[in-house]
Amino acid sequence: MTLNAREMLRLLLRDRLAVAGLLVLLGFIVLAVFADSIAPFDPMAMQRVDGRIARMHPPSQQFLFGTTDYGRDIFSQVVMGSRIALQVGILAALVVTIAGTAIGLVAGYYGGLVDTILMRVVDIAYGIPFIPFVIVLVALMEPSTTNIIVAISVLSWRSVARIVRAQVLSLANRPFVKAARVAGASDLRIMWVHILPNIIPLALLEMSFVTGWAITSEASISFVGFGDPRSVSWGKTLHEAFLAGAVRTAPWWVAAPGLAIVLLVLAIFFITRGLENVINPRLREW
Amino acid sequence: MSLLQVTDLKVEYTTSRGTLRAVDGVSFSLERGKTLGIVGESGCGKSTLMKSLMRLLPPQGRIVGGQVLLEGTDLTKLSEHELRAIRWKKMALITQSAMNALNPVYKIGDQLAEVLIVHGGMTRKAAWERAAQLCQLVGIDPARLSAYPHQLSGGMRQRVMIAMAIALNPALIIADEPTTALDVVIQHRILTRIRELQSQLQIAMILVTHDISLVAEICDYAMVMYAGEMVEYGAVRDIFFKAYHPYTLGLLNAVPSVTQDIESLISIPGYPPDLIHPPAGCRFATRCPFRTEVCETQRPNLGEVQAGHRVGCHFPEKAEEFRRQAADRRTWERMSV
Amino acid sequence: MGTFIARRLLQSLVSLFILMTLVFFLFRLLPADPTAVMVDAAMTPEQVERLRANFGLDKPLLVQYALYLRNVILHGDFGTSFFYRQPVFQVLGDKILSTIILGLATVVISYSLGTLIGALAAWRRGSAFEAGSIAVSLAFRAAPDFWIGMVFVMIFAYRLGWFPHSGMREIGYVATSLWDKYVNLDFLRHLFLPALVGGLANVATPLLLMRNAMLEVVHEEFVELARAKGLPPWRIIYLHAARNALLPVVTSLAVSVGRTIGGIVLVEVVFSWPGLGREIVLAATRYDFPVAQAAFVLIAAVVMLMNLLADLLYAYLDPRIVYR
Repeated sequence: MTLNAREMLRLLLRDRLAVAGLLVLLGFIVLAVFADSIAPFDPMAMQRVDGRIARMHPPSQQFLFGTTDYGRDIFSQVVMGSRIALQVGILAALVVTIAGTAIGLVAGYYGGLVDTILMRVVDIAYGIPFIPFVIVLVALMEPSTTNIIVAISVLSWRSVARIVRAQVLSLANRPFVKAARVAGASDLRIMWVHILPNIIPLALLEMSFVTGWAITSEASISFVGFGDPRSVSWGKTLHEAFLAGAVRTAPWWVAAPGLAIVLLVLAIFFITRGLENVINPRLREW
Repeated sequence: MSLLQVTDLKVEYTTSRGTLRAVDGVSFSLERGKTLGIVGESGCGKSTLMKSLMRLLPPQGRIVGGQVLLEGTDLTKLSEHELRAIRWKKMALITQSAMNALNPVYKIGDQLAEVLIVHGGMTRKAAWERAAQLCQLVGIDPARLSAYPHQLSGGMRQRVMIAMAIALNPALIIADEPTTALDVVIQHRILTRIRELQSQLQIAMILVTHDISLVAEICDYAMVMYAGEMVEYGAVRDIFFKAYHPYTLGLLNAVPSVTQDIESLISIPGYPPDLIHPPAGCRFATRCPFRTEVCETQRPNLGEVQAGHRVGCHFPEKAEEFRRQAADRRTWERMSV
Repeated sequence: MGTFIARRLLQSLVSLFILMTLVFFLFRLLPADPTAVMVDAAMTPEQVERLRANFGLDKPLLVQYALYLRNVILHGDFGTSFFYRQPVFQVLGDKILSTIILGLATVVISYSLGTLIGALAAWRRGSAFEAGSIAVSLAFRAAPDFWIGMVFVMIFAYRLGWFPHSGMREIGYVATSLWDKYVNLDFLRHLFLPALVGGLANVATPLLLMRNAMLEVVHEEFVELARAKGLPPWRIIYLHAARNALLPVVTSLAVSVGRTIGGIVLVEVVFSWPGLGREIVLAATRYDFPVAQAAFVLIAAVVMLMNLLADLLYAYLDPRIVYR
């Protein structure tokens, strides 16, 4: 059953959790866009109070989330960190979805040798452990945001490809595709006009999954020290917290960036779940 | 006292389109050791009726009125805990598709032994021994007890179901289309075996089916259901040779005859009514070749036309006339318009 | 069954081989200079060349590859660590078991918690328990593994003092044998928190899968028959329904195991658990390529091993599987 975009949106908006997720996501987007204005201090600057560096201050009115061991304002770091999180999340998800969909489409449509080869590649991709691979890749390349996005994308397309291929396989044998072929439509046309529109909801759903995954992955890469040294990210804040022993002495330093990650990713989960209920009516609750 | 006495049972389902009354005031009784056959097309409420007797309705279904007395106890008033004590011990079930009703990951022996262990308090060893005895009763080689359901044929699986049903010597067995999924030859064998066991062990049985010829084979009484109501009830011979209700007559027409030369079967055109908004008068009116104005506006009452023979029709006195006309295919073909 | 195992083993070995090749070329083709760590400004160009020759870095790529394969397959020799100046296998040897143990413990916790709670959640459809358990498991999944680790260390190790905050055993402990090394209370105390963290981080998948599978199974006729038989509820939920609902969940085990092991890397770092994951992070930081490469291959091998075990488990649970 194919729904048009407006129907999908309407159904989605009926899911309260999904709406909550959308609002939170929107909030983070606003935060990221206006980060410069919202962050009270420069996240990398050492703050001073009464002439002395404000080391490891617990949360106060001045420093809402407290300060680091170098006197940096954690609240500003969290606000600015939203930029990297959303950038990596969305860009990686886009790249992955486009690549994965294209591969899944080609594999599922043409079948035969093309399919076998592509699926072997996917199988190999599945055999590669994700975090170790991504860490090694970023270490080998220069740690930068772009490289992080690349590293995450290199493997993440595997699940999209598999799922899209499965869907294409079930569609490729349907009467309307056969009819188009008989009518003389070219392969490209059939894929683009007939099959792709039916794949898009599923691809969007996968993209939603990947976004959350990409955000957590970026945090993980930054946590082990391979984040972009020039930017502020939540993972990097936690990396510094860990090295400084904040687990023992400064719980606020640990809590704030982590909760930001949880909030954003949960919001995306709920949006994804809402989308899933819309696209797979079988799972729909009464 | 009858073994089973159902009085004015009403069952409803909550659906997204509204409340559906699947069973609307059905009453009947059954004596020990006797067999009742319930016939009707899909959606007439017979399966719902059976589920209600065992109190196994899905969450959206509930009993909204009436009584179900089993050996004097009203089943509709019992708690889940009390029901568990009598389930299978007093009332057992044989379902249509044994392939689906048997748990695919356990051996047949374990599934047979389970009720003996749980309800009968037997040890596993003792239960398996009894299971072997039960196998012999139904005609299965006890060596097959170590097999899994998918390794047995359809007929064998159905025999396992029968063995399970008689395991605790219940007073009543409900068989819901027990042979529909089997081929005709096996069907006959299974049914005969059921009948033998039943008279041997004096177990009462309710046989639910859409195939009226089966009812003729092994039942003592027959009940015809349509659109949630009982439209005719009586001894099997009466139903078959002296049916009163036009729907019953239509059903009888659909049975192929080995002796007569019929070119094609006469079927009843049309569809059953919507039970969320049931029609005002007789529910069969739209498909009845003998309908009149009163049929469309007034619901017929169940009346006793003979001892033990009840019919829900406005014109039971015209039965002979109906029987004659119903045998003529043109009577029904006129309805296809 | 035997042919099945043999076939899967062969598949895994082929995949491992392909992976080794991939990783080898990945490390050689990317820009970072492997000897940067060891070269200091005072070295002359000839000394640098000799250093490179020492590690075989002056030979053509394909020759290096052939030598690498020969060494690994025939001698188990993964080369020499740039950082430790020791054979790689000596560096990584005992860390393999540590990671496997942590990996197994994590999967056991996440899947047993997930299936038990998921089954119950499905049986109590629409209840607060169902909604709550799903929400909590999703929150754990949203949180990065390492952050959960940090928070748990904060609370259970430092605030409450129930468990140690890092390491595999107390310093100064001398083990007398392999058995003695791992089967003791101190080790279990050290294992508990990291395994719990990993387990909770990954509990959402089995929980949701089990719940969904149960919701479907609950409509199956054999479950209805179980109810008709008057069996007690726990028997119906766990022995009849859950036992069948487990099957699709176990098939997911193979896929999720890979993700779990990958995530263990982070947990090992947070808890300073001396395993392959922690070592690969350290090696990557130090540009110690032989160690990083070998650790990577070994992690992949552990994943494949656990995949194989998961497949065997499924075959045991579902007697309907017939192998060609």
